[in-house]
Amino acid sequence: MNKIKALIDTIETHDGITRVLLTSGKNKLTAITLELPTSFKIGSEVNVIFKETEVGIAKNFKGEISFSNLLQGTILFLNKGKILSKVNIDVDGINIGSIITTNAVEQLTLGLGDEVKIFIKATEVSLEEAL
Amino acid sequence: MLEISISKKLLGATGVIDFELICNFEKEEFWTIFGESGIGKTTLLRMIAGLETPDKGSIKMDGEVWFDSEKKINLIPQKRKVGFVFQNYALFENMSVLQNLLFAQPHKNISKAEEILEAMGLLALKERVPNTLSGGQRQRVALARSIAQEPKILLLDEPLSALDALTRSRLQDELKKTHEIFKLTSLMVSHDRLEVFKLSDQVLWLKEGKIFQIGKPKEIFLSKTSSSKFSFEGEILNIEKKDVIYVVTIGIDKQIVEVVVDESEVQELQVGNIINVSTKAFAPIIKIR
Repeated sequence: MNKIKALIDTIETHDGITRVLLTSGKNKLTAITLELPTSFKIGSEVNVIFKETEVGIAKNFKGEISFSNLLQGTILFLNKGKILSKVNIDVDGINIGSIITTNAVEQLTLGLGDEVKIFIKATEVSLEEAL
Repeated sequence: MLEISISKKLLGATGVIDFELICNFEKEEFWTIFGESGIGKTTLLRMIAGLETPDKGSIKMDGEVWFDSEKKINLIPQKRKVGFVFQNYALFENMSVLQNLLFAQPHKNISKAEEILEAMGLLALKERVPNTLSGGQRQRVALARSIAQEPKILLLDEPLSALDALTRSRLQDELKKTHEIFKLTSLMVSHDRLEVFKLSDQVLWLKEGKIFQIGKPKEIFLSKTSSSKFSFEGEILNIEKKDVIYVVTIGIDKQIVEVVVDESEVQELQVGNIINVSTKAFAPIIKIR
């Protein structure tokens, strides 16, 4: 589970669906949720949570993509299994884990120190009160 | 409105509990008293009914004093106008369904008793004696009988817990309907979250003899600290490493599920842990069986 501390910038609600824009360091993040607990307000510090299996990786990425969350980092660690692999990426000092197929690791020829972009869908991002 | 302000020392499973409650129950609402066993849920109903006496405090219904420790008022159960339905249906076995209702009525009125049976879909059973009825039917008759009493408040102590899942689910719907048709003020004890969610307008969650939470079921049971909507409590049954990931087997109620977790999380987890499993409302897939 990836957990990033972030501050809520804007909350936009329509018909029970909420879009939350957040800032973590110099990165912008987006989360889509149903009704948000009332304790979440603009300026609140929250944990942005998403599973490793929801994190996609791209190398030499060009073009447009629908994923709202796009971060850039460097591969810190790589653990190749037979079918799945675990990749850790350093994004401005935050360690983000990604579980992708070993096939993808090989296709992208991922290696330690590689510059990569990571993608997380906004609907896969959970928010939790930072205690 | 039922106004309660009482305290009583109870002997619970873990020792003496100081039961303390100040709460007003609005009319025509369906209230559930929720919480673990042995924290005074049933005792609360019994104190309202006059079957047990609080150590201190007062119980008032629509301004009428039913109990007041200082003024030494303690109405007997028959004078409190309370309908009570228990888990095990106490029907008069030697009387027909209709006679059971007539016996309970404060003013005998056959057409009124038949109206109640009609509204609850029991009219066809009116001449039957209880031991020829199914568990679900008996519990519906018990409910009809307590309505025949014309109670100011209906007290339900886990009325459906002895029934099988399907009958239980049907009776939950009927109970809700009956509550609305007869404009009852109902107080039900239950520890089944699903039942509580389905039936209640208001939930009074008790913990160790005190109010833990009070409010509408959605406010109480859906997570307040996280935006996850698909959230369950469960117990870890097994943790297994597979390739570079871990698979955690979790028992949730009567179902068993598997969840994939990363190595960094697995260190905190142990078989036997009671945990919360959640995902976003966006991820689950629904199929009709």
